[in-house]
Amino acid sequence: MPSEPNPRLFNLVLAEDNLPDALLVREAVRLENLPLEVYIAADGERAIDLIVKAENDPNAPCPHVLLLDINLPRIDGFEVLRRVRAIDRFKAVPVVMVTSSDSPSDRKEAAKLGARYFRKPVTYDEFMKIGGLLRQLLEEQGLL
Amino acid sequence: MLSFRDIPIKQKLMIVVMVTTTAALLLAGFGIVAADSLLFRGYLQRDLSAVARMVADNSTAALKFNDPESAAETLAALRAKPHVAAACIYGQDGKVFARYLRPDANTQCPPADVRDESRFSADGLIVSRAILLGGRRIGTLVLLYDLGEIAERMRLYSATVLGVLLFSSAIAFPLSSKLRAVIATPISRLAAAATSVSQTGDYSVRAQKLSGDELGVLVDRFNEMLAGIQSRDGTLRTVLRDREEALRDAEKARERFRFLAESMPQKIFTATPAGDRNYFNRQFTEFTGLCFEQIENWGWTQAVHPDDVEADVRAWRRSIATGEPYHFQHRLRRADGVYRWHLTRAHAMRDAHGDISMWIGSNTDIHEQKETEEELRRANEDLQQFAYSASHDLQEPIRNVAVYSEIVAKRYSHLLDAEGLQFLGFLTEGGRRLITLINDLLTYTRAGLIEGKMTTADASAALQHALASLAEAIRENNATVTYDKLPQVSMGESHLQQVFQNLIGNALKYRSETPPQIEISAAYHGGAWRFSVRDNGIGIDAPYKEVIFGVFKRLHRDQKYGGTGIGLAICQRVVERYGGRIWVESSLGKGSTFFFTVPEYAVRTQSAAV
Repeated sequence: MPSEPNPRLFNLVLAEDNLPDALLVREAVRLENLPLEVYIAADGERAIDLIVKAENDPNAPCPHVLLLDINLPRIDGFEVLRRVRAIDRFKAVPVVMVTSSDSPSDRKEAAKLGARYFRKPVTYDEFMKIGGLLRQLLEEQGLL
Repeated sequence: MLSFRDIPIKQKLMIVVMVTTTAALLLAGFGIVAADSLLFRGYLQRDLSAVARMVADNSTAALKFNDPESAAETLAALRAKPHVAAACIYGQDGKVFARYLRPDANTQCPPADVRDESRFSADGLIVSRAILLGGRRIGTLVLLYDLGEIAERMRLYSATVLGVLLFSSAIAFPLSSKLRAVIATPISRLAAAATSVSQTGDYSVRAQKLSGDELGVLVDRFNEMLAGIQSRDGTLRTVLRDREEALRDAEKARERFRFLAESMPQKIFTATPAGDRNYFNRQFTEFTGLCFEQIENWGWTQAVHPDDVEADVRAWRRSIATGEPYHFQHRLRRADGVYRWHLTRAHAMRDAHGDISMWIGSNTDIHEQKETEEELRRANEDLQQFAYSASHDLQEPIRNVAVYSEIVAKRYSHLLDAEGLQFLGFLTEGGRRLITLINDLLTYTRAGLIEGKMTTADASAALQHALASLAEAIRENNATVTYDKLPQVSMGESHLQQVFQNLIGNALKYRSETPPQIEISAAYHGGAWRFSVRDNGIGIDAPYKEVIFGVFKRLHRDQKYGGTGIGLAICQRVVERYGGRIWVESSLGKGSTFFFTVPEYAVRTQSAAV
């Protein structure tokens, strides 16, 4: 099914080590018909690499939205977020923490670092709601 | 020498009587003599003037006829008056014409005077009288009367007065001796009684009343005064005796306290209302290895761990200022330098007026307890961490199973036969159920932990939040929920909300045919708030009243009543964690009432932060 040609594509960096979840995010983007290219980093280190490369290499994809799992191998999602926020260019980039955790301390930490919180639901329909959240974020940024 | 003021009343009275008597008699005698003297002189002048007139008249012829001898004879007749010392007749020429001089009187003719007069001179009374013939003065008669008679009378009178004085004194002295006793005796008795009281201190002595006069009144008043003093003295003695007894009792109480303090395993101290510690029992000095002089007043602070001492002193000062009990956990240095955790408590003792009379305190060694608590806290934290990790790590694969079996059902169901679809249904449902169980288990673990610092919850607010979460179920079941105004309680609000939510949720779930009616109320009783959640549901059979609080215990396998069976276990865990208790009163088909209590000051049996 060929997608309609889109004059402008934005970049979504998803830090997620669980491929089934990553695929669900990709499905949500597709279902919502969002102009987003999804880059998947399987651990925190690779996520940081992607972002740092974007800062230094003009040809590298520049992330417009970040989705971070908290419990990531090597470097956890919060640490990734802290390093991103330390870069001037990404101080205001929209970030959503996507996690199975329901811990109040995790929710608090996310709010402190200026990130939305999306608890991974246990049903397909619920999971697809992340598409709506992403649309909202892009609209807030004036990208849609 | 005794002055008049100091001599005894008896003598004083005698002197007063004698002096008064003598003075009165002397004054009377002097008056009588003086009056008599004046009267007698007047009488003498008149008498002698009459004699002189008579002699002058008789001498007119002798002078006319110049017959001195006849004149001398006339004068000589004055011999009959023995006190006439001289009588002379002067002629017109002023020379003595005739004279009579009493032989024994050593005197001359007094000088003639032209006036008729009588006057007293140093020699005596002189009387002059003109000798007239046909109204013409032809000579002068002069008489001299000596005053020997007056002097004699004076002597006589003086002697009489003296005699009367002596006689009356002789009578008055013994008489006054008798009479003075009437006054002096009662006074002496009174004085003797007063002396006796002052010397013996015996206020039961009474003075004898001998008369009804002022002295009698004085004795009465004196006796009344003694009676008053005697009664007050008695009261005073009673008060003093009571006071001595109280002092003895206080001393005994002090001794008992010391004995108790010395024989207790705890370290005991006392302090003044100002907070200066003034007693430490042996256990304290032995533990710290410091002597009393080193730790008295504020010296004990040197045995407190440097990290604890500031807060400790602050807490102690606050208690002293407010009078509120002092509770503090701090480390005390043992004699060997090892610090051990102690719980120090002190309470103010107050007197009858409510003022603080002293502080009594104790230091209890809680080192082992503290270490156990610390271990427990760490274990809890580990458990908590494990629960979260387990939740996350278990949920992820299970979620994959659940969501992807759903996707398979959606997209690939046409490739499966009826049995395959049923098995896929088992897979989906099993995955969801496992997720719910894991979440419930996590909630149950968290229910046992008190989050953060001890807080108070507004039960009304907690109930409102619970009702908001259940709004949909309430509407679907057409349920009526009524509640009273609920109190503030010592409990985390999210925990209270959870308890309400589970109990009300159960009431909605286990409903009967009639629309659910749920009633929530609270009552204070025995230091705790007792909440109740009453419903008109299916009720619980007596044998299961305890079982239902167990983990994953369910009475119904029916699809109608979904859930993992952990809701009441969570309620019990929360309530018991705050020192309360939960139970149910119910009978099958008649609804249930769940009760739970929250102590006013909840006991924290365990502490850990989430």
